[in-house]
Amino acid sequence: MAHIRLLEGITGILGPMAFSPETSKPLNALAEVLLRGPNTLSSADREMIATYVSSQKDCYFCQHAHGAVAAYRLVEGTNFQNALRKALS
Amino acid sequence: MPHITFKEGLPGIRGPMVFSPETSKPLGDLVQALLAGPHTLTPAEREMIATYVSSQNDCYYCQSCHGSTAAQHLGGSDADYALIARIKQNYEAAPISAKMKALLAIAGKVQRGGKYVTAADIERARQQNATDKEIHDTVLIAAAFCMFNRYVDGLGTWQPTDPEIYREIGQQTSQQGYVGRDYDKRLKAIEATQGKSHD
Repeated sequence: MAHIRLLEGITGILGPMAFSPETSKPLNALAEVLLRGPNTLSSADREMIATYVSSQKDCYFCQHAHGAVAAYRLVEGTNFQNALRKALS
Repeated sequence: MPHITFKEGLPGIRGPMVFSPETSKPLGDLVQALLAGPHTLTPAEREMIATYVSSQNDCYYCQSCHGSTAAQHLGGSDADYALIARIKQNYEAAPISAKMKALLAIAGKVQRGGKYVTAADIERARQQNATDKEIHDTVLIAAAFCMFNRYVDGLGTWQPTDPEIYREIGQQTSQQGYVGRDYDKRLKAIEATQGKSHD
């Protein structure tokens, strides 16, 4: 159970994010710039850094959320992805 | 010497902040909301949490800046600076409220790792009438300063040891807050006065 009263059914950081909009705005803006903004490192590479640090810190939610995004970014735009899209359309 | 090239003469986090405006904007907005925005905890109390965590992380620049800002919020006397030093050394024995001691205990646990925070730590804070918002913000200040401390030390930033520099930073920050500060412009003004850059 969470230490403070957060909305039920919202996972990980999304609970405190919903609890505190005034801090979630700059936190989301920071993550957006770091992980998705224009950069010489791909979004997949940056998500891997976030995932590895979260894993070293033993944070279950963060390593799984960012690990999943990294995995998605890796296949995004590849032939595999295109083939999958074609197969599903 | 810093691990990457920053403009000279910018102490601590100001080097990377000027280097990377696109990340310094949300970082500045975050610290402004946490430490300087409207709150049931005073700015001095929130700066104490930032200072204590920075001290536990052994970040010289951050504990000196935020310790000075806390002291300036309290009035800026030698006694105020001495209180901040006592909080860093042993907050349980410092003359601060029981609520602040309970919140600093939570902040100290977050500094070691989020999973160290126990239901008993939270209960202790609630016994002193700490609200959910105060507990939330204590945890986020502690977590955010672990990030700021690692940002400042991980890039090997220049961290001067002259206490007068931190006194001045504390005076300015306590009056102006964290948003819209042009550190680059201030540096250029110093260079123009002195005719050369700092080392």
